[in-house]
Amino acid sequence: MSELPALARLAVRLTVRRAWREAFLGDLEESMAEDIRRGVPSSEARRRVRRDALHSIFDALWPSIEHPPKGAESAPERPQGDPPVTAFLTDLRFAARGLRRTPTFAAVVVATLALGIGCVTAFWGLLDAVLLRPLPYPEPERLVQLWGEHVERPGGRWNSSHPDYLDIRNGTDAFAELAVYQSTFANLLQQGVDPERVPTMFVSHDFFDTLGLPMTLGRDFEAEDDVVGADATVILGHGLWQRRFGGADDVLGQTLRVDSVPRTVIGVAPPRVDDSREESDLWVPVTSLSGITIRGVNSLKVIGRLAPGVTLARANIEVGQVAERLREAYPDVNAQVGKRVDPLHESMVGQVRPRLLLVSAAAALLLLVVCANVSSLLLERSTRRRREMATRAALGASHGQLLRHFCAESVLLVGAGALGSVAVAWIVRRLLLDFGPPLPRHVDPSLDLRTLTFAIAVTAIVGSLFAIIPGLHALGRDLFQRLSVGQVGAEGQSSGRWRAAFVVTQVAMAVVLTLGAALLTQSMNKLYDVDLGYQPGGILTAELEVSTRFVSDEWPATVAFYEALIERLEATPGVASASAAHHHPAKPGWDTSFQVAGEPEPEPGFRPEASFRPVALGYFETVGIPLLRGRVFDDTTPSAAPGQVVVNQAFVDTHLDGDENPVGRRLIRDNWWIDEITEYTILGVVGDVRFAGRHRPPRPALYFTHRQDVPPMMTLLVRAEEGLDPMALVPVVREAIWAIDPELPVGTLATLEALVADTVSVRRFTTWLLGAFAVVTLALAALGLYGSLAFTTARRTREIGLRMALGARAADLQAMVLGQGLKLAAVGLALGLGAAWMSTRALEAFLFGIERSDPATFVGVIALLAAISLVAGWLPAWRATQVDPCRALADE
Amino acid sequence: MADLLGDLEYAVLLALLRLQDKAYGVSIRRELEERAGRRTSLGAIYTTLDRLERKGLVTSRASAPTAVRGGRRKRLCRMTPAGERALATTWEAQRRLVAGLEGQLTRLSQGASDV
Repeated sequence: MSELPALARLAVRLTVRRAWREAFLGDLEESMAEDIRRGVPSSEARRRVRRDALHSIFDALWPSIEHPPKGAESAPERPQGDPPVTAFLTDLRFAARGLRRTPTFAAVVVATLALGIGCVTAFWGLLDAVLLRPLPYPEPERLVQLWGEHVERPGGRWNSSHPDYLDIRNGTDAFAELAVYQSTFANLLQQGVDPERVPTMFVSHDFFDTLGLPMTLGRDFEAEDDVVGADATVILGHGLWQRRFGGADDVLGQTLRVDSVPRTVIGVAPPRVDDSREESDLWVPVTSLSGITIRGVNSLKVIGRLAPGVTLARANIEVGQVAERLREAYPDVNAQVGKRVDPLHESMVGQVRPRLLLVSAAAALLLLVVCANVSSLLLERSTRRRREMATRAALGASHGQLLRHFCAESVLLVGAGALGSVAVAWIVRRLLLDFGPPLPRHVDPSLDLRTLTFAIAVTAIVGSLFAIIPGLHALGRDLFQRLSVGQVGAEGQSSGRWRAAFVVTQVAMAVVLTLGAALLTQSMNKLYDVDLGYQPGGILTAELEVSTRFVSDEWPATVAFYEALIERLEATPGVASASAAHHHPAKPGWDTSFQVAGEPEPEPGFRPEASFRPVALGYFETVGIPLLRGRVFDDTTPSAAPGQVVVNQAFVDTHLDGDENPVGRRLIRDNWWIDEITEYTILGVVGDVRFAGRHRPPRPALYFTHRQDVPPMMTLLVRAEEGLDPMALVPVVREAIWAIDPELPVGTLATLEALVADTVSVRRFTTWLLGAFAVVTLALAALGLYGSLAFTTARRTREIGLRMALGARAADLQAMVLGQGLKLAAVGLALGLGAAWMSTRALEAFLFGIERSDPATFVGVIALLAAISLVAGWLPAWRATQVDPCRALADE
Repeated sequence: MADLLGDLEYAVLLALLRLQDKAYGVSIRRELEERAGRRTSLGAIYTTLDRLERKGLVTSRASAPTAVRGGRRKRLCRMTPAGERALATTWEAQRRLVAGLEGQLTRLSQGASDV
């Protein structure tokens, strides 16, 4: 005789009433024995039994759905020993009926929960997608990024030069592959299509091999494609291939003009090569970049795939050895340069981690406040129902049964809240992705399984918390005691303690978030107050790359193009002035080394550096940088020797010892374009500018004229006439450009103000988010305080009425209630300030121009919380004394 | 209990009437299957018996345990007088519904078996 299947036994235990259970199991066993006797194979017989038993789950549910027990307005009638599934279903139905009678309560709880869980889920989703999810490449843990850094002050993220890269690749066997890339834009010309400026990546031939990505179509770059003078080839990005060529196969072998060089299409890259937001449209061999063979030109990023079995530590040691050899072999450019290997994932996300963690922590605090809020609502409800519970217990309901009722209610509330939270999470995620600052990795806008799992886990934890606390409290220890009439109205001590704890928690969390938000907001204000050193208002910018990247002897044409364009624009109505610069003033740009003439030759590698800023004529007046001494470039500035340079005040202070009259002093610097220029005479001194945004201090800068230092890429700057929106100039600027060169694509047009705003967009966004969280938690805390006081005073209506009848003054009674509320608020405030003091340490890195212990901010937050507590506490106090004493006394 | 019996309740009570003191889960199921060609799960039968017992139409008692059932008792069921009345009422109602239709129903069932 074989045993009944365990699954069948479990199903019976769950679904069949105790009185019938044994008989049912016996019947199952008998059926199975009979089947076997009839010759049914044992496995089939067991399967039948299992099916029969599982079917009983449905049978247990169905009749109770079909025929709900009638008439039960209080506890549903239910015989002891009902199967658990049926019993819980009955509990749920009963709880739903109870909640329908208090729709406001249910709605508030569900909405609050949805908000709390939804926000936490959304931020968790981003955190997971950016920080935790592995990179979408084969064996992503072997991928690394190689950075240059200062030997004595490590931690920098410098680029490398192509010769250095080759030496590292050949000098170690730590890497299976080592590749370089440089992201930029290129002008794409194709017959019959408007010229377009598309994101382009210059890569070494082993770039795709390093990532482990196969081509979608055609072939990858080979080593022969990646040497100076090779046949010009290009790989299309998947997006461009779909957009321009409809995904057709015959694109292979076609010729495209990329930056005016005809290139043969040899392959199509797979989709989402870089796991960031912007996907490259073109991939070009890195050796076609000008100046690629110069060791001093550090413009490339290096990624690698560690050889099998090689650890990060060993790779770092080997790379360090090569870097040391390079320092010795090329002291003029590599004297101070060390090299470091980081995990690629860390390189990509390391910089956003602190901010992401910060906002996620804020979201977690919000959830905590939400939990405290909902807990006190549930607590209040269960306090109201103590009498009902006591009655039921007196009629024979066990504690377990009563507890199940609370569980059922929590399951319904939390379940509905969880459903709502998915919607909230989805909306918040969309908003964050659409309006938030760009993230370093691609994040799919739809919620993924991992995120939903997280939401379910949070829901489960929160749900069980809510089920247990108010349930246990409502049952208390002495249910029967509460049956006596006098006891029913009074609030139990334990409930009072819990309620106080919840209010204190809410106030404390609100203090932490408000203080954080206040510090960040003041940092933002300080940032906006900062003098940029120029006037960004009213300026339209357009990035242009005149097609000279690959034809080095065309630079006079480049200069002529910009000067003609500026002249044409300045003659256009609505344009006050126009100029151009290699980097607009809100862009950090790069540095150049120099030497002050007459000073001793510094040791190789120790030459001072300053920001390198070639500009066109009229730059300083167009952008609004004041001239402090001497003069700036003008029509007399030659396009040959002698070299001219304009410096800023920071340069004079740092490198010329604050010389009162630096005009006429000379600097020595190599010119890449014009060999005869080796010395530059200082023409004048201009005001300092905060390049790269408001939060960076001004740096020493060298302004060159584009007649002498010809950058292939320039940003056009057009100042609109007073009162005119610079964006209104977009059509005339396009027209002017195409009138001179119809094949020149115009990149993104943006106002300089928008570009300046971009430099603080991440800060602004973090501030905004924290502010929003602070407002919500403040509102919840105020509601919590108000609700708690309103509840206790409502319970004390009779006492208050009695006191008033006995002659107590309304003001004294108000003070009594208010005092009770303020006491809670004060404890919350004190705890919150303590917690804030400790947690603002995490905020320190995000602050600007303000200390984390800024006394004014602390006082302000205390005042704000005090004011809110006063209002939240005074309302119920006032309401309590509006009661007619006769009514209050008659109430009971 | 003026309510008419449900479909399965009616069938189970008829089985009890026929099986007399040998009525329990397995035998009731066999009865339904063999006579009405109706394959019913044990769970459905027990839910029905449970409901009938709560309505006071059926009583049950445990039998002595037997080896073939793994030492488990049967739960033998019997109709109460109320159950007998309910069965009679429902049968009465059915008979009235069928009255005068016998000829047509016979033709229908022959037609059905032809198909």
